[in-house]
Amino acid sequence: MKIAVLDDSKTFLKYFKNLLSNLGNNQIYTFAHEHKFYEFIKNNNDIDAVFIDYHLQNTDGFEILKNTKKYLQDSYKIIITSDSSPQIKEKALKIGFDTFLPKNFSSADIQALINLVKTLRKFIKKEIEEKESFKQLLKYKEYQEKIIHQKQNKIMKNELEMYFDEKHLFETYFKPKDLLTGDTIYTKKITKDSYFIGIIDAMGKGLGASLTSFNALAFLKHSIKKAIEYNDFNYRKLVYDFYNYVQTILLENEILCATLVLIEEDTMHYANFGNPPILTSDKILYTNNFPIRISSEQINIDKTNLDEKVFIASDGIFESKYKKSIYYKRLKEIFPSISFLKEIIEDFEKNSLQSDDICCILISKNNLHFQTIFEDEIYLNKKNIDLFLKKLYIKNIPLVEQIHLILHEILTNTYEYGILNIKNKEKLTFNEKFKKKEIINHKFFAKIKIGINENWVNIEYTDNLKGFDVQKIKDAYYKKYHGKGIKIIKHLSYGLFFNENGTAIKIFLKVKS
Amino acid sequence: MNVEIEGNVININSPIVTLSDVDKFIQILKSKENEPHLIINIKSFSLPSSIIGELLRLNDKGVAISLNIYDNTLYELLKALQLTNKFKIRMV
Repeated sequence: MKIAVLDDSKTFLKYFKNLLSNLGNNQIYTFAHEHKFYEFIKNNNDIDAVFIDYHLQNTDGFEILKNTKKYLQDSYKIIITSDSSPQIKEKALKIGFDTFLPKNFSSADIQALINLVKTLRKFIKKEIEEKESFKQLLKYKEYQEKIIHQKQNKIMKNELEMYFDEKHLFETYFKPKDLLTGDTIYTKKITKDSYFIGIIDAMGKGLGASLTSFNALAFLKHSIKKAIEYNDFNYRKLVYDFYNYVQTILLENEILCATLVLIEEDTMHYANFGNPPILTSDKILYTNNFPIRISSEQINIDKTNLDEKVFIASDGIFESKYKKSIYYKRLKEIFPSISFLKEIIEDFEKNSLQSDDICCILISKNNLHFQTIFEDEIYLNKKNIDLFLKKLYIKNIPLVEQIHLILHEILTNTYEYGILNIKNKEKLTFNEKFKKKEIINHKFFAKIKIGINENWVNIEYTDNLKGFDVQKIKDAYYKKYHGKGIKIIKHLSYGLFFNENGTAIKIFLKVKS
Repeated sequence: MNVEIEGNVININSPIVTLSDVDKFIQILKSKENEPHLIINIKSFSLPSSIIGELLRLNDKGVAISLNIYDNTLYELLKALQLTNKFKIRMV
């Protein structure tokens, strides 16, 4: 045991040290002055027990305890006193001494006390070790979570996460329940007006389900990539190949659900292997295949007209609890009035509790009508952007503060990346950024249009610069302390969509009632 | 932009409207990087991400940041950005 003793009587210190040594303790440190005692305990927080005399020359044991507690939180603290007054004993215990030792102690008293401290310290040390290893585990978990989320996003490459073309708006949502997700989503533009959507849900939990799901997704991703490269994309062949491949990676009792959809102009082809129905504005398309297992079944691929709205999801959102039923019931009720995915997610968070991974996509026709309330064109330099922002702020239009902040974020990005040509913002200090010269090109301009209808305010932004790197923006959104601009826009709006080359943005804000 | 500075207290009395306003405000924050504690009273809605970034940088350098917010939408936004565990944020 490591023991420290503070007493201003050198005779007592000598006697006490001998006594403790004779009882088998070999690490005994004695101090006649408090400053040396403090210096010692400051650098030795593994001390098992401290003995502190109550009557000291310049101070008393109570004062000493105050400082001792700063450095020795877990050590056993004993006050030694020749004063037998009950008030002192009571106060000593109240302020944090673990016990008191009258100076007329016997060798057996000390032996009993040392035995008690030994037993207690054993438990405390074990607890400290457990706490420390739990801390390490948490740290490791946090690190792994970060890596896994990065990896998941990298593998999934969800191209239609916030995407629009001339006819449609696409938005996806992915929220795993646990660290290892069995749900994956892969979306890809194949050609103009042709899009692929794959939602996979490997049944079961943990690493096994996650491996199956990501492996199946990687197959889809690579097959489509190669098909586009060789210009021979064939949806039917892809579905059959996927089915056959998945069968080779499944265990005997394992099953995998998947919805594979191809949108071609105004037609939607779908093969749904056991996932929940596809909801559209006009109908409910029930699953047309059994979940995939080792044994073979016939494969059905159906097609239908592409309706105004289409919602495709894994079972996470459908089967979570809603009152005495499941959220599917609620979803069917609210779906007719839904314009954007955030409305579904908000309603889900308010009325249900996530019980599984959530993975979904909403495709809607880009045909909401708006009355233009503000329109401007800016030749892009700082002076003009400032003038525009000033002009916008004093406009009497609904949600002007939110619209202003959103456009402030977009124009800051346009200015820094497009006009100052800053390639990596994080590596540039403010002063370096300040010194950068604007690229003078009078042909660079941005067009901004704000429209309104009964429910929504719409901001449309276009510029003729090289375009935002949409993938980088999306990646930043998932980082804890990055992507603040896009997080601000996402928080303030209900829909945020980029065109393919990042030169146009559509944003929708809800008009408050 | 109307900003008042009294020691370690900065009052933002009107919106941060332009990119130049952001630059000016960041310069003010930079001049305060040796303060142990900064108190910022934000009486308008607008708080662009570049300013939030600068506040995070100051916080990483050891400056404690207290934000007193007067606008509920801004308060909700800062919560959504998970900044409540970095700064001391209070809705006034």
